[in-house]
Amino acid sequence: MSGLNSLHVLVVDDNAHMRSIVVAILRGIGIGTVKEAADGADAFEVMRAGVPDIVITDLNMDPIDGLDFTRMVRTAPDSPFPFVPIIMMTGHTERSKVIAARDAGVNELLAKPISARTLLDRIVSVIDRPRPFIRSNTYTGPCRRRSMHKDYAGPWRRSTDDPEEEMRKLKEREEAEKENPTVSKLGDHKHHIGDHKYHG
Amino acid sequence: MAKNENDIETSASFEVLPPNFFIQEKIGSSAQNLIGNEQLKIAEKCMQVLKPTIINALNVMLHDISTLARVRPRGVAPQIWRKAHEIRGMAGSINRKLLGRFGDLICKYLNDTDENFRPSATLITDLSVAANIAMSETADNDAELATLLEECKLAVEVQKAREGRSAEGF
Repeated sequence: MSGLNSLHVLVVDDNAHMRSIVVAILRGIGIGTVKEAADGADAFEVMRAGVPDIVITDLNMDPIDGLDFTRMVRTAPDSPFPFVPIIMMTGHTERSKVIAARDAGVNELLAKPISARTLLDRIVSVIDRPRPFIRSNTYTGPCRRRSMHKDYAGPWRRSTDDPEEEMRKLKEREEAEKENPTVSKLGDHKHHIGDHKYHG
Repeated sequence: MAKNENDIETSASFEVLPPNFFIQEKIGSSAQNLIGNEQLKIAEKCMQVLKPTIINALNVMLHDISTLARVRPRGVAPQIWRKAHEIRGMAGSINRKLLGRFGDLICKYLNDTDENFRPSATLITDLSVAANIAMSETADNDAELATLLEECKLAVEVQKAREGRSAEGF
């Protein structure tokens, strides 16, 4: 089975009507499995029963909101799939909320009111333009760097970077460092690429 | 697993995993190829089908807000805020933008309040009545309703000022 029919999407929203709008759109375009959950705790249980390919969640929910749910998915030791793309719907488009969502590990934000076009655009984005995944002491989630800083010399500057090419450059730099320790390092951080496997 | 990150003189270390195209592999194509104009039209039709159900739900929520404002049970402010928040989210999705703005106005009035706050019943009732009028299909193009919205905005600011919660300069 391939095509949209093979996809599994989980929709998390405590408002049954908003959920029905999203579910109707997803089923309408032919997505094979669309599951629903009313809050973060419920969603985590649904994920345990079957790992979705994409999660679409609301921000404002009780008792576990979209931010806590995203953090649970990204960092909980028993998370079924920390790498799952998460699209967050929110009526809060204030900068602080956007930053909070980004820092929780959300892939894409979908501002309410949602339209069919914006929802489909976000789905296309997480499928066709996946970002590198970062795991650190303070953050776990998709790379938050969407623009290039002129002084940044490290790999993965953009989602369009060629993974193989960046790997080759990284190895070259590491070889150069071994031969000559005075060669500048990759900022303050060390990147480990290529020795991890996704669970999906 | 990654090599030991402690072998470098840094306080912060992290792992970078390359972008994973597992969904593309699963669907056997880029999403752009599978989700085009045809799917967009289908999706919009699906939303249209749900419109009457959503309008009913919005009516119920507005009625609930009026009742809550009148009865004012414990924790009334968060309850009203939550319903108004749902209204502003749902209204726009079925092309009732003005209704969404009235929902937003109720939220603005109740922002930063807690469950002990007792909102003005008169103001909440007025806002929910205005929101009810904005439910009509032609409301978004109605100049009088646009004026009503501006007047309601002013009423919210005045009420917040009375309660000592006004924005700076009001």
